[in-house]
Amino acid sequence: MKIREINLPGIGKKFCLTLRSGDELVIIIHTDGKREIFLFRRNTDEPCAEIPLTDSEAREVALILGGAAYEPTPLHQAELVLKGLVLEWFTISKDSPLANHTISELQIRKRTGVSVIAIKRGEKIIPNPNPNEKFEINDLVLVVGTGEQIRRFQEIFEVT
Amino acid sequence: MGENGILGQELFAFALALIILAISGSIIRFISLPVLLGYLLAGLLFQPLLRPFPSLILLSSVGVILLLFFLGMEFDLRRLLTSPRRLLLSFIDFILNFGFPFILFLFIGLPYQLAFIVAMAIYPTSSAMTIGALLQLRRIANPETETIVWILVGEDLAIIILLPIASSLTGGKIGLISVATAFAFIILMLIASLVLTKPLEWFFERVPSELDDLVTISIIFFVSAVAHILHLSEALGAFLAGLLFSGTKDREELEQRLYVLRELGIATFFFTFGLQTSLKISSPGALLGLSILILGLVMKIITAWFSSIVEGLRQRARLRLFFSLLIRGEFSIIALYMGNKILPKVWQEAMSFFLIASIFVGLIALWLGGKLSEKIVILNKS
Repeated sequence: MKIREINLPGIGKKFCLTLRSGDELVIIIHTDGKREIFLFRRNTDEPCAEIPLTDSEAREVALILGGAAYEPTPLHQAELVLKGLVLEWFTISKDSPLANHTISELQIRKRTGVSVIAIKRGEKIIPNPNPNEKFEINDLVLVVGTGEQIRRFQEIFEVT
Repeated sequence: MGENGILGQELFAFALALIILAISGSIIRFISLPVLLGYLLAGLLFQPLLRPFPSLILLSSVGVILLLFFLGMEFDLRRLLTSPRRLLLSFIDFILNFGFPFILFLFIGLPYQLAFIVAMAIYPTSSAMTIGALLQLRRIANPETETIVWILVGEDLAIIILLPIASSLTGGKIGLISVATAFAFIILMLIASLVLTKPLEWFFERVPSELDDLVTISIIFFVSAVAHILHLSEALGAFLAGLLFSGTKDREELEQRLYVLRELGIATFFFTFGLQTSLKISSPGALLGLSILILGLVMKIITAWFSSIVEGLRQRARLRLFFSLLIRGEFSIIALYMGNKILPKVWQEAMSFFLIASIFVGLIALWLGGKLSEKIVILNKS
């Protein structure tokens, strides 16, 4: 993320953060401690949102944003790193090469090294699935392997 | 009347002035206009009731001194020099808004002292009013505001150089010697600000901390008083005192502690100007003022147009910039105070007219600018 720091003599300091979406977040810290946050949509020069904060409010907000109180786990790629082992969830999409094939047909372990350890289908969870279990569209699949194996798996079966 | 009576009168007038300021500030804030306009209007309105009295004048000069002190403290020559593009902006702004009017007035046969003072009053956009208005319009984060702030910073620097020249021109003495004194004083203080930072910090570590403010303020006022005695402007002295403190560690803390005093001072500065400015303007004075107003507005719009090209601003930001540099204020008032002795009556009237009109026109332009620029862009698209 690109951050520009600009002095505004007589006002305070301005920080411009270009976000991944292309939008620009501008934070003004006034000399008297007041903060203001503005959001500029990509390629516009008029803010579409503004948040004025007092000094103490700003510190509180910063703590929350920093994850001091609650750190979320990204839902889609819940990764659990255990001494080099990676657990990863992925969904079977409509045009996935995995759809409507069994685990043994696909030779997942032989070709990539990863093991399928669970499938979540609707409300049902299938732990340690049988090699003859067929993947269905919208299945949520949990696999385990080393980072390298997971990468190979993603490459071969076109999952992200 | 005894001494007690004089003090009582002064106190009463002071209290009255502060109450007027508080009320007018609240009203103007309520209709979301910059508070400084409210103070100026209150001054004009209360002319029949109040005359400027000593403590008010003192507080208003405290305002100017602290304003310049803050400018000096925030001033950083290196920052200005690292951006040649912005230096170019300041240069163009100076040439168009000081140089051109100065030469024009010389050309129509004004004595050079007069031409200098008038050009100096036309030149600077009011930082206090413009930034106040931009804060209230919530345009501080906008791209064009960076450009505006840089133009204002450049003007502050130019004014610092113009001030001693103006005071020597209006002092009645032969200019050359006093100009030399002025520049010797500036150079001395510049060197002092570079050399004295460490000793100053060492000194402040030894001063009992509850006396920090007192010691600081006494230094500021001492340097200002010396500058005044040397027939330089006290404003210049204050700026240089600010330079002295600019390198110290707790500069920002200092700024926060003196902030209230500065705000109060600036409020009385505009109020006092309002109280002193005669609204009875003869028709030649008004006509002259109007032509100066048009000149001043046109030159600033040209400056804005040029700046928007140099800074590569997009359409809306660019249009908003056109309407953002028109307000004149504190420095023009300082220039007029300096020129009081040499300006003929009709010029005094014209300059007062110009100043007050530029504040109104400038504020309205700033307000409408946002909406207008939106409309023009939409029209252009369709």
